[in-house]
Amino acid sequence: MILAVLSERPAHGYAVIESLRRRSGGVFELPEGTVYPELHRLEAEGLLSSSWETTTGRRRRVYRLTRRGRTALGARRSEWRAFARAVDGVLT
Amino acid sequence: MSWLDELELELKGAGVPAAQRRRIIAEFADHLASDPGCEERLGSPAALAPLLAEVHLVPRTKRGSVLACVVAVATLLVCLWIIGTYVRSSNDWAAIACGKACKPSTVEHIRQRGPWRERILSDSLWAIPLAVAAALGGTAITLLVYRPRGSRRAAA
Repeated sequence: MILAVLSERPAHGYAVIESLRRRSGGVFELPEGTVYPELHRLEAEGLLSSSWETTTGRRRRVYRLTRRGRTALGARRSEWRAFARAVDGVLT
Repeated sequence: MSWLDELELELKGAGVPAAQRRRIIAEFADHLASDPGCEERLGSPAALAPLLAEVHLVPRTKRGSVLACVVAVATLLVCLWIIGTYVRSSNDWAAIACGKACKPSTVEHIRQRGPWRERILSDSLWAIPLAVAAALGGTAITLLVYRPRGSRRAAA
C-alpha cells in the first residue's frame, strides 16, 4: 500500500499516512508510528529512496519509488488481484 | 519527559547507531509538528523502538560479520607466515603451507622426512607459541568486532 501511495508522487512520512487514511476511506487506522519502520525497511530493500528536503521552512525526509520499487508494486498488484479474484470466486 | 525524548532513549537502549537515531528523531519531530498532539496515535516509543532497531541494526550486523571474517583470514595468514619464517631455512613445509610452488623433487624430499611437528620443534621452539599468540590475538579482535544481532538489546 505504501508503494502504491508513493507511485503517485514523492511524499514525506506524514503525507503517506494521511494518504493511506484518505484512500482507504478511514478503514486503515494503523498506529501511525508503525509506518516509519516500514518506510525504512522498504528503503533498505532498495524499493524506495529518500532525501532531506526543505519545504515551507521545514526539513522533511521525502520518499520516492525506485525502479525496483515500481517493478515490485506491479508484481504485488498482480498477486493481490489474483488472490482477491480467488476469494471472490469462493464467496459469491 | 517528552514523547521524542522517550523514543530517543528507547532507540539508544535498542542499540540504534547515533546517526540513524538523529534521522528517526528528525522524522518524528516533523510528524509531530504537522499534527500536534498526535503522540497517542503514533504509538508507544517502547513498542516502536524494536521495530526501528530491526531495520537499522541489520546492516551493522552484516558489516560486523564481514569484518570478523576478514580478521579471521588475516589471523590465519599471519600464523602461516610466522611458522613459515621459522622453518623456511631447513625445510619446505612452510613453502607448501603458504601456497608457494614446489618442484616435484622438493615434494619427494619432504615425503622422506618425518611429521611436520617434529620438524618445526627441531627448527625453532618459538614457532608454535608465536603462531598461537597470533591466533589468540586475532580471536580477541574478532570477538570485539563481531556483535551478533540482538546482543546489544539484550545487554541493554
